[in-house]
Amino acid sequence: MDLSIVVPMFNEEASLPLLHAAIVEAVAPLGVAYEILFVDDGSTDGTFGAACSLAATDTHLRVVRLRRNVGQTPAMAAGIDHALGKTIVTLDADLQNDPADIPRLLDVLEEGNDMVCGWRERRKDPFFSRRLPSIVANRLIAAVTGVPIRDNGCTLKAFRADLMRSVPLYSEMHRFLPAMAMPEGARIAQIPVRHHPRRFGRSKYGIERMFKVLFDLLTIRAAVSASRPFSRFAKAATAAALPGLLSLGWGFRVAASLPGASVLVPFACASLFFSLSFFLLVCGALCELIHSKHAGRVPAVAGSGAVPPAQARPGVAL
Amino acid sequence: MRERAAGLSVVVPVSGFFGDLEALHAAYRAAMPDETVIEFVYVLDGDLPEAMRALSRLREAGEPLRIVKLARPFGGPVPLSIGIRRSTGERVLVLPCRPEIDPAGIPSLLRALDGADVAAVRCRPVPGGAWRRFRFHIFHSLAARLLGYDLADIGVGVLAFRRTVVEELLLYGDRHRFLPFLAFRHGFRVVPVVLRSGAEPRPAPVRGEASGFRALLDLLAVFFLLRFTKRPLRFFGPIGAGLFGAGFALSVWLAGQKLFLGVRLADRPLLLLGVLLIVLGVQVVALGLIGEIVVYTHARDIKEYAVEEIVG
Repeated sequence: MDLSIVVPMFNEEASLPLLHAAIVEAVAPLGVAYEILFVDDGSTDGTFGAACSLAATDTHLRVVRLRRNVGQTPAMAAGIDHALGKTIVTLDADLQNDPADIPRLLDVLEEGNDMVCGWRERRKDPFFSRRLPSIVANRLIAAVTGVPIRDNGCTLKAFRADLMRSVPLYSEMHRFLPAMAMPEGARIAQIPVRHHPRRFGRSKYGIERMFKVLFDLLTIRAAVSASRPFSRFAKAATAAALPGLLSLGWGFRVAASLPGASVLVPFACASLFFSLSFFLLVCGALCELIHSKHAGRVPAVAGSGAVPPAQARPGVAL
Repeated sequence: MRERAAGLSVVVPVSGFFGDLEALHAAYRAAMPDETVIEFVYVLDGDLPEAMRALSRLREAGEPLRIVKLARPFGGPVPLSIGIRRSTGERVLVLPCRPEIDPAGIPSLLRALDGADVAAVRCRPVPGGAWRRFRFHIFHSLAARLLGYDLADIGVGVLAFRRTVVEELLLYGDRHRFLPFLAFRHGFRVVPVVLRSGAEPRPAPVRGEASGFRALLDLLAVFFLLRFTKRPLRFFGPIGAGLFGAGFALSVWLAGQKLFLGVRLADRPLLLLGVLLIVLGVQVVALGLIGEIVVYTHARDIKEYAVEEIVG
C-alpha cells in the first residue's frame, strides 16, 4: 500500500458522499495503491451508516468506528495506527479542505520532504471568531517552538507514515504536529491549499481553546523543543534567583543605612526566591531523568535515509 | 487444562463479616436463570475456617463452585480482583457475601447485561440509620458533581459487567468501586438497575462509603483519572497561574505604595505573602509541567481511543 487518506469525522453525515467522491477523483488518477480510512469518532448521527454504505461500493474505503467521541487528535491517531500506506494524508471531513490538493502535497513530499503542511490561502471563515485567534495562535506557536508553520490549524497534511509513528499524538496535540516532528529530524515543507466555506453542519471549535493553547505551548516548550529539559529549568531557576539576590542586596542596604531597623521582610523574600530557584533545579533534574528514557529510544527517522544523519536526533548516552 | 468458559461467573469475595454462606448460596442459586452455564467463585480473604467448611459442604453437594483462598488477609479490593481474574465467564456478576441485596433482583441485573456492558447498581432504600443515609447522600452528590454524572452507588457490593470491560479498563486499587463511571467514560453501554436492599445491610465500615476519608480520597483520585491524566497542566496550570497572579498583583500594589506614597516596604509583612504566592504559583505550574512531560514521554504507548468495529 502506497497511500492512506485518513479522515477523522464527527457527525458529518451530509458531507460524506461528496467527500468520498472528491477524494476518489483526486487520488485514483495517480495510479498508486491507495486506501481511504474514515475514522468515525463516535458520531451520533448517521455518519457510520453512510460511511458503511459507501464502503460497500468502494473496496478502497475502510471505516474505523470508535466506541465513543474522543476528539480530533485521538481519532487521527486511530486512523494513523490503522493506516497501511507508506504515505499518509490527513484531511478534514467537513469539505473545507479540497481533496484536489492531495496530488500537489504528494508531489512536494516526493521532493525529499518528510512532511508537507497545507496552509489555507484565503480562508473562508469569520474573521473575528476564527481567523484572528488563529493568526495570533500561529504567530505564538511559531515564536515559541521555533518552527515557522503558517497554519497549524489546517488538517490537510501529507507525511511519511514511519515519521508519525515516532511522534506522540494525544489530547489536542495535532495542532503541534510539525513542532513535535521537528526534533525527530523531519524536513517540513508548506504549500498553500484551497479553502472552502462550510457547507454542512457547524464548526466544532470555539474561541476558548486559546487558553488551552497557551498551556499546551508551555508543555511543548518544556517537553519537545528542548533537547535537554534541564537547561530550560536551569534558566528558570536563574531567573528566580535574580529577585532573590536583589532582595538580599536590599536587606543589606536597609541594615547598613538604618541600624536597628527590621530586615526580616527583605531577607525572608530572598530566602523564598532562593528556595524557588532550588525547587526548579530539582524539577529540572527530575525531568532530565524522565526525558532520558524517552530520548534513549531510537528515533524512527534516523534510519530511513531520507534525512541526513547529522539532522537526525542523536541517541543520548548515559 | 482450563475448563470450558462458563457463560456466567458469579464472584463472591468473602472477608470479615460474612453471613450464612450456605443459605446465601442457595438464595443466589435459586435466583439464577436455569439455562446459563454458571460458575461460582468464592474468594476467601485469608484463613476463614468457618467459611471454608460451609463452602466445602456445598462443593461436596455438587454445587459448581470454586474456592480461592488467599494466603493471608489482603483486605480491600484484592479478593475481588483475584476473583474476577480467576473466573472465566463472559459475563461477571459480583455479589456480596452477606444478604445485602434481595436476590430476587438478580434476574433483572442479568437482563440488563443483555443489551449493555455494565449494569450500574443502586440499592434502595439506602441502608442504615439517618446519619449514615445523610453521609451517603452527601458523598454521592459530591461524586455526581465531580465525576460529571450520577450513575450508581459507589462501593455497593454488587457489580455486573461483561468481561471485555475489565479487559480494557485498567482496574487497580479500589477502582472497581467506580467501574460504572470508568466504563461509561470509555464508551461502554451502561444501564441503571435498582435493587432492593436485603435483610442485612452492611454493618461495620469494612468497605464502601462508610470509611469516609478514604472513600473521599478515592473519589478525588478517580476525578483526576477521568479529567486530567492526559493533561495535568490543564489542572495545575490555572491553579498556579491564579496563585501567581494574586501574588504578583499584591506585590505590585505594595511596590506602588512604596513608589508613590513612600511607605517603607521593609516594614510590610504583606510583601512576604505576595512573594510566597508568586513562589507557590511557579511551583504548582512546574509540577504540572513535570506531569505533562511524563505523559508526553509515555504518550506513544497510550491509546486514547477504543475501536468498536472496522468495516471494509
